[in-house]
Amino acid sequence: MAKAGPKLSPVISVLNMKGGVGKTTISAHVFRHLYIRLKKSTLLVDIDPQFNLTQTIIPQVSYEKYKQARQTIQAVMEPAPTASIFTVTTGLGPPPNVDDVSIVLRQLTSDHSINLSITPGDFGLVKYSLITDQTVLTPIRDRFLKFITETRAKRDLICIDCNPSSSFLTLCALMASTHILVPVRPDRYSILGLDLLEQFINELPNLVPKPKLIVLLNGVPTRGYDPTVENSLRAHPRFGPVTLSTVLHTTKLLEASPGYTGFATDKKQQWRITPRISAVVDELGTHLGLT
Amino acid sequence: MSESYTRICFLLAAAGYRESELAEFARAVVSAGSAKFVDDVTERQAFIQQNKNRGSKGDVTTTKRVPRRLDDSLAEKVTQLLVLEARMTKLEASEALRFELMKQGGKVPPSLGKRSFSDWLDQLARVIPHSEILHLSTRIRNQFVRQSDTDWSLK
Repeated sequence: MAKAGPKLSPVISVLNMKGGVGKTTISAHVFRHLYIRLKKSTLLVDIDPQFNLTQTIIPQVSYEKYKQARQTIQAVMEPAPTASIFTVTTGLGPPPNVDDVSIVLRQLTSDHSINLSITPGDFGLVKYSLITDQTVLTPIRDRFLKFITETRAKRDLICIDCNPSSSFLTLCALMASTHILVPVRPDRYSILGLDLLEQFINELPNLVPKPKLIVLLNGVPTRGYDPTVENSLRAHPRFGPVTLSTVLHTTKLLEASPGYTGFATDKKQQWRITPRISAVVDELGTHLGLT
Repeated sequence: MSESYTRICFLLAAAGYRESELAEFARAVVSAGSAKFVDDVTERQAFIQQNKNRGSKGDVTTTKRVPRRLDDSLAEKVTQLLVLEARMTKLEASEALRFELMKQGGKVPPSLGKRSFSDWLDQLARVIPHSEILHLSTRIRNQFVRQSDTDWSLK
């Protein structure tokens, strides 16, 4: 059921300063499964200008229609398109209602109020990384934050898929989030991305309270695995206790394939990965206070 | 006496030391303290391992690569870390976890008793998050298994 009381739903950003760690894969497949397993209305927000999350689950033809109808994240940031990629709209006004800028992807047949929806991504967001004057961007950030705050009263969970950089958009996502899910691969580079992310968060003076980190090991090989990095992560005094005990293994089922648009847990071979994703969802649900 | 104590007594007996040497050894252990004793033994284990590797491959591998099984349950993971890798008995593993929880000031679960280790862990997992149990288990495991860190490590 969507929330009616004063308690606002959690907002979780999927983020790591390192690219290629599985942020989009996890945003799509883990949260699709969370919606059905925990029966929670979940909104996916694609804030990455590359909009790979959107491309993973929405066919191109449908996306073009949504974009035409301004049902993308761009409409959350600004009410109308601008002539140039170097300018933004002034006099923004209030943010849109979530139902006007989101697409329902799945819903429970027994209770239509519980659904999985997405606010699709938009390449237009790239302009915010080209604008250097932060005062120009502040009203846009505030509009986005207001949109998220209002949506927290209407959904059980909001998941924001982020791009792997310390950009204006990352800042927007961090300021809106109660939690950050950090996917890491068991290699030195993505683990160090975790350090950098924590440092970045700690050095942001306006970010109060700081969102809570949750770490998920992704892409763990099924053969010949050297657990050195995992052992170092799990033993770490701050990151160890928040690293989910379930790991996701390397599998073709979770990889993007040219001929398939949709969720991995809807594929014919889903039984191979669903139990593990269920275990991730159960742990995640506990950390987020959803169970 | 614990099972590990009995096992080490057998090892020393099999090595054929005289009584006077054993007495001297026991005094040295008491004087050094248990932490120093464990450090000394693990240092020599690493030395032996390095020499084995040098002899067979011509290189020295500084990272011991322990094949990790595919595991699904928390009990299997903790057993892998503490029993298979740290070479603890299940009783020792449960006591080590209880000790870590005690240090944290949290509610300490009852001893293993006659239950199976996996049942005991299941009960523990009802009050302590899985991630926390694995964190503590890995910390304990890392004290016993010498493993070089990656060049770049978490701060």
